[in-house]
Amino acid sequence: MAKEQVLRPFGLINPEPILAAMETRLLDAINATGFGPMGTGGDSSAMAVHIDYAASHGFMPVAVSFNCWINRRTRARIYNDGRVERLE
Amino acid sequence: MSVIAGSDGVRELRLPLTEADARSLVIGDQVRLTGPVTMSIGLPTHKRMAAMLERGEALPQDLRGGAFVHLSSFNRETAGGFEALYLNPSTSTRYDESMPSIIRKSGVRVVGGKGGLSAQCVQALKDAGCVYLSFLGGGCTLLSHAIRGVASVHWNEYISQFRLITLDVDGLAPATVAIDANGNSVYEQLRDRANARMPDILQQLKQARDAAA
Repeated sequence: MAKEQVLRPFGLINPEPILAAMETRLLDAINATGFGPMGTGGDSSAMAVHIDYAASHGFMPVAVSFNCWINRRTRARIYNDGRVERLE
Repeated sequence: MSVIAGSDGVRELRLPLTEADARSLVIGDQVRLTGPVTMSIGLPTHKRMAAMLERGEALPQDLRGGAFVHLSSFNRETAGGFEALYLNPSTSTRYDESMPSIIRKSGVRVVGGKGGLSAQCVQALKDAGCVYLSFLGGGCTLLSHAIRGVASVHWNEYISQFRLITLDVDGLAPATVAIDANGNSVYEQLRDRANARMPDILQQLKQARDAAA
């Protein structure tokens, strides 16, 4: 779902007014951080925020997909005794 | 002296650089890179380089005074050797584990990629006299204009982008000095500034949300 929103054409306003307003608020908040292009400082850290949602039951996972950031994978083995072994 | 002030305010780095050259650069400097630039985006490549250097062995490509960057490049094999088809930056933090050894033991003066390096790497850059350059993520078309040829390709048992590739480049840009050789990191400074701004940002976000509700 997050990847689908990445592919939403830039400048196309979210048809749901609540989400469109949320996107504007988050874009302003993100750009107030001052990280800038490539994280080397500036007023524009994000060009747009695109949000989508789906119904769920009992849990609410959130996925965030942002420009090419490859450090996104990890692996862990969870044992019955609750021990977690990080594999990478 | 291999650091020259360009007429447009961009500093020209002509490889190889001396330690004094590297230490003269400060965070925020815009630079252009010219000369042989070595690159790889392979994790096994980085581990192999670090292990060799730790054992005191020479790398197949001498990096003394040179540049070693996290730029991906595919090199097509031709009758006469190799042809480089593109350059594109990769995320540097993936190589945090191997970079301190590479920075400290290879004599390299310029490293780079996108997103910065760990605090251990910042310390290694300071100790060794080496800078980290931030390249334009996704800026493949712009960056690839600088390719002039393939100087060498080592470790052909890996896929092309993982090999130890040295390309001759002329005016590789845009690039920004993001970590200098004097312990300053633009990433650390911006993170501190953003953390300081965060209470206000969250407060404003809450007010805007409440006003919309």
